[in-house]
Amino acid sequence: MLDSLVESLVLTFSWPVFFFLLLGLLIGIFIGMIPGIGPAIGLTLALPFTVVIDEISAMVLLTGMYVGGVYGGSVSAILLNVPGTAASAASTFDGYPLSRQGRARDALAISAAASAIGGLFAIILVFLSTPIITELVLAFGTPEFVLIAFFGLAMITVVARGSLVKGITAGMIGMLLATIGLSPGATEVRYDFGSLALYDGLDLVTVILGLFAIAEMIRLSGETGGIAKNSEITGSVLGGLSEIRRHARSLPKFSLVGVLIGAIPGAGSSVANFVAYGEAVRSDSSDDTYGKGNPRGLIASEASNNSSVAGSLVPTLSFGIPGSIISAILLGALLMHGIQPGPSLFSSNLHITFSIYWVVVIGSVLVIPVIGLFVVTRIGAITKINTKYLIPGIVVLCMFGAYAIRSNWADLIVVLAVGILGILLVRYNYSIIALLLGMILGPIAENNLDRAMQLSDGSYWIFFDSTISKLMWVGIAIFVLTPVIKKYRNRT
Amino acid sequence: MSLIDTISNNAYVEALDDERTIAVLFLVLSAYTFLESYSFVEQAARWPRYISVIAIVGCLLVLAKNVLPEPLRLFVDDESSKLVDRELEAELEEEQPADDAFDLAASVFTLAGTFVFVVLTLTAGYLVATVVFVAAFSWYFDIDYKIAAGYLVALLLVMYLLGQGLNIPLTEGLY
Repeated sequence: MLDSLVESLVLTFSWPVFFFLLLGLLIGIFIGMIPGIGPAIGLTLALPFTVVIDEISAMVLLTGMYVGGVYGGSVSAILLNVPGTAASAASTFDGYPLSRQGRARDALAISAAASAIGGLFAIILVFLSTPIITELVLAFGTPEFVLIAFFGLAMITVVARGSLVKGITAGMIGMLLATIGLSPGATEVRYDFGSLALYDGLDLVTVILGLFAIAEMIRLSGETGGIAKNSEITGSVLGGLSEIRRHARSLPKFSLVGVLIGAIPGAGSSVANFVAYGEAVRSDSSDDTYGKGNPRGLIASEASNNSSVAGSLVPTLSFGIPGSIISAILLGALLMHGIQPGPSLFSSNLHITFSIYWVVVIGSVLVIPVIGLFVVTRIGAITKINTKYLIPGIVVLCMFGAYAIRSNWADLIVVLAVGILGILLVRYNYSIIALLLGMILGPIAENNLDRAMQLSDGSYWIFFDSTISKLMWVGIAIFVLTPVIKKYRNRT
Repeated sequence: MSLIDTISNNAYVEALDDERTIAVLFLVLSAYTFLESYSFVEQAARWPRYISVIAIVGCLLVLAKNVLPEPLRLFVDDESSKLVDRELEAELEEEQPADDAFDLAASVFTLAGTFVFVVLTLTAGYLVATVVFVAAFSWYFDIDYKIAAGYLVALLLVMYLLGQGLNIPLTEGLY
């Protein structure tokens, strides 16, 4: 095993593999920053070109794009409130307020360092505990998937600061939006108004673009000056790094959340960053600055979304189960090069598996810190540019990106409509996070609930059978009851 | 006084400036999804029906906030978050220059401009829509025409390159 590890390291640093690694990471960071494009579309576009290169270079290029894309999505999320990917949506909650306070450099440094440390911690964890994680992933059946969704939804009670009822209502509206289109089991097309354009429902990234980017651009156009409201950008790379040092003890926890949720097929980084953010808020409930520029909130999101990349590799490589669209593309690339995912990747083809792991390590240790701390932090100055020069470009690119996702004209209307909804939600203190959680977790809950009820012939005891289920119920109870009890205590 | 100012100062618009407006909107939406679910087969109807009921209850609680008993009202009102927001807003106001007031008319213009952009993209394509949107935006926000022209060319170049890769037509309507 150690031989394979060294052999794959040498291989990764050899020509032209290392070139493809750097290329993948740089392209990934770039496409991650473009609203709506993101790593999924980038990998899809790159996949046919990998036919002409060897299998190691192909996997290294695609994995590099994946790692870079997840990180790049956070840059636009922090600077412009435009998450490049769903995995970066939670980074807007505290990253963008930091930019507004003139601390963009702090925020970008936090993002780079948390992504790097999180990614590194995650890959070490995956490397050391792949057998345990695979056991754990296999232990998750349909009922446990339902409980994961419920667990995420229970977080609404934590993240919906202010009115609990308004938070839950927003979550339900998010879930209702997610019911548009073909139902699970393909039995019915719901709320489509007879239009084929709504057959596949609403796309998550499209909704995120509207909710964050368009809503924010419309609001920003009513202000003068740049995004940063302070006259000087006060943040610095060192300032950001000192925040990382201050919250160093929380980093492994957020990374672990990323790995575990990333490893669960169907959950992935779009869920991981919300769960980690929710945990950050829950475990630090004395602090009311979450959502207003709390560095720990940003660390939670950034550490978890990069860790989820490593986590998602586990089911993909171990069983050939793609947990997300990106994992499916990676799987496609493996198959395209004649490599069968599964046990062979941990025996005769171990060097390929390790090369993929090395991409995450090198990306986390060398590329993201170097580019993130020394190049990207300089982009922080963008927050001083008068927004009237930024708004038209961002609006046009968001609308372009929204159409690029699946070539559906209705997505443009969705972006605009959801943008207006986003303005109203912020204006009247309804939680945007809750709405998004509902939108992400609703389909997971419905799909698996339906299946679980069929498996159990309608008996709800299926949700209490396994030890994991019982533990998850305890977790859900803690999440739901803690804020309720706290609210009563505060009043009395 | 401009048309937009007249609209924004209108008494009806002021009356709408209430959290209950969005609760009514959500109530209508969830009532529709609830009723519509009866046109689906049972398997597809169950989930949206449950969710709609919870959403309806939530909306009704928000609408009836003022008449709710104290223990229940505790979970509906958001006084604590408003208190924090006001403190933060006050801090931000101190940091901002005095002339940094919010211009509602400009936001309404951007919203209307985005709407026109979407309509034009669907009917005439990205090329026409982008030219019109950037030109109108630059005119309204007083951006120097040379900068606007350069900006437009750069934007179209990016769109052209991405469009080539992603096979997105720029010169024809998407609808």
